[in-house]
Amino acid sequence: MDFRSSRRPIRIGCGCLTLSAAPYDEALINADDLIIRRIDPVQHIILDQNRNCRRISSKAYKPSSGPDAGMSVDIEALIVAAGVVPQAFVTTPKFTGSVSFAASAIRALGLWVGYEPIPGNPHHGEVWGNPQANKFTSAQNRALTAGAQWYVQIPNVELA
Amino acid sequence: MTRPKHLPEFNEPPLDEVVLGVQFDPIPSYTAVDARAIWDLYRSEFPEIEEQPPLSPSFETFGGSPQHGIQFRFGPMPPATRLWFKTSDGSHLIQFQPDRLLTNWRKHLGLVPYPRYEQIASKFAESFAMLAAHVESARGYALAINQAELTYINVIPVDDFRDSAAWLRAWSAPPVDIEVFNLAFHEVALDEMGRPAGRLYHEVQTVLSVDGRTKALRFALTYRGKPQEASLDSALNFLAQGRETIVRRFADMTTDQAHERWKRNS
Amino acid sequence: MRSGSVQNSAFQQYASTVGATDSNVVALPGSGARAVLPGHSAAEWGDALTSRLNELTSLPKGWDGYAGRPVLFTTARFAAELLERLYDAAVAPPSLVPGSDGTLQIEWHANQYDIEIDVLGPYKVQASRFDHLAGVDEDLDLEADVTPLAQWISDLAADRSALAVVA
Repeated sequence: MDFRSSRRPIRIGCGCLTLSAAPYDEALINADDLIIRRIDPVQHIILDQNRNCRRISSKAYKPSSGPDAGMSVDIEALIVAAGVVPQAFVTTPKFTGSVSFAASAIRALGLWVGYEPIPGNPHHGEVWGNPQANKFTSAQNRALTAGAQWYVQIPNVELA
Repeated sequence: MTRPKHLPEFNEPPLDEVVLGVQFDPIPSYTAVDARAIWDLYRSEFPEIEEQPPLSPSFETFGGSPQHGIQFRFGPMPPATRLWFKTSDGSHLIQFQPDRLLTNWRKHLGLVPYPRYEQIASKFAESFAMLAAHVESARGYALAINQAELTYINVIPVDDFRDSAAWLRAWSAPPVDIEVFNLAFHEVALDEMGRPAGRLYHEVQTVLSVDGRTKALRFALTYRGKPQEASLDSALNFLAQGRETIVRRFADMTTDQAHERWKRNS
Repeated sequence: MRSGSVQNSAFQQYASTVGATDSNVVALPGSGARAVLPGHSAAEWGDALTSRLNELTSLPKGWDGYAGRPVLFTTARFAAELLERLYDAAVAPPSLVPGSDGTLQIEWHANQYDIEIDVLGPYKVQASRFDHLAGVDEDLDLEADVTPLAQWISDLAADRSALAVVA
């Protein structure tokens, strides 16, 4: 895979030191690439009495509040390119469930998705709001909640 | 900063202690190692130091109802010590913890005259500015004030607690030999638009001197709430409003006889 | 009742003649007597949410599989303040959901309402309510005055059976 995005964070030496990316949309992430969001099987799950089920909270799809922060994700294509089984990667070292979105679906909401490798996770990315990176509108948050598909399913939990 | 002309004024008020300060979003990644650099900001004037247990975060919210008897106690708080930086003569101190800065003045043996609110507030503003500049320089982080508070603690010596009505309008003493009493209430302070702006706490307690020989009433008024903005200027405006509220309320709640004793001149 | 001055005083050399009280818990005489209401007692809320708040403020770093941090104590303390004001005996305790960034969301999904109160920090609250029956969305940004939320919580216990039939 050719990583020639001019906005891509710099990898130095072994790739274990990287610079955090300012919000941007990565052109090398293709429309049908899967973007994975990990879901904690305890912390992110709520009881919905309206639907009489346990389901994922919308909080799981909200960005962090720090400046230039977004919503952490894993980029499936990067994991595959590294020769790692994605389902194994996103359930290690701690088991979590996960959901996925097509990159096109994220962009259709007006959000950006880009690379942001971090120590311990070279396949890490971010979904950012646009124009404000750390802010998704209620509509965007609801659309993410509604549009998520299981990647690693949590038993007895509904998606939305 | 000048005293508003219309405020009640007393030449010999029973004021025993003034506490003025702010709460701010906790300084990120603060550890005990950072305390020395903080003390160094104030050490020339406050050369003595003492450790105290930290104060819990406090907030003034409005709406709903807090009277259901439900309270959440969880924790522990993140490890941090409250530090007292004290003057040599014991009349002033600064209180610091990672989410608070307060200044206290006390009437020390009557030797140091009450410096008046304007001077206390001005000095506090300098202290806060020094802390903010240090945190900005050392961490690239801007302190964000989320609450301000002002307390006036008055100590009114009495011969007997049954004499309380001679000093306090709020208290009409029944014909009992009072051993102790404790009166506390608060009210919501409204802004000019009629919206909740803060809270005014009233506390009256019977107290004894350490040697047990002197009886007194401790009458404390605290004004607390969130300033409109997170800036020091906004906090000072809030505190100035609090000062006016407290002084007026003190005058309203104390008797004419008391005012005469304290030499009210406006 | 919360204390005004005792905590911050440094110089008081007089001893109160009243027994020491926990300044966070001062109770006026007689306030300990509570009417026994049907529904959800203050103790039920207290036990469930205290335990949950303890858990959330103790989450390990990386709890979410990324760089998640525990809920900040100050944020949790402010959320607890809100919950103390919003308690309603007719309403079950809410779910509390942590954010990766130390924030906390309080939520109810009942009586055909979805209420989500996102506590981003002291005095920084973003709240939303969706009414499934009316198809109405409401969004609020709040600081200190949570009066609108109290009405939302009260609505969770309202009888909506007539509306449900129409819907």
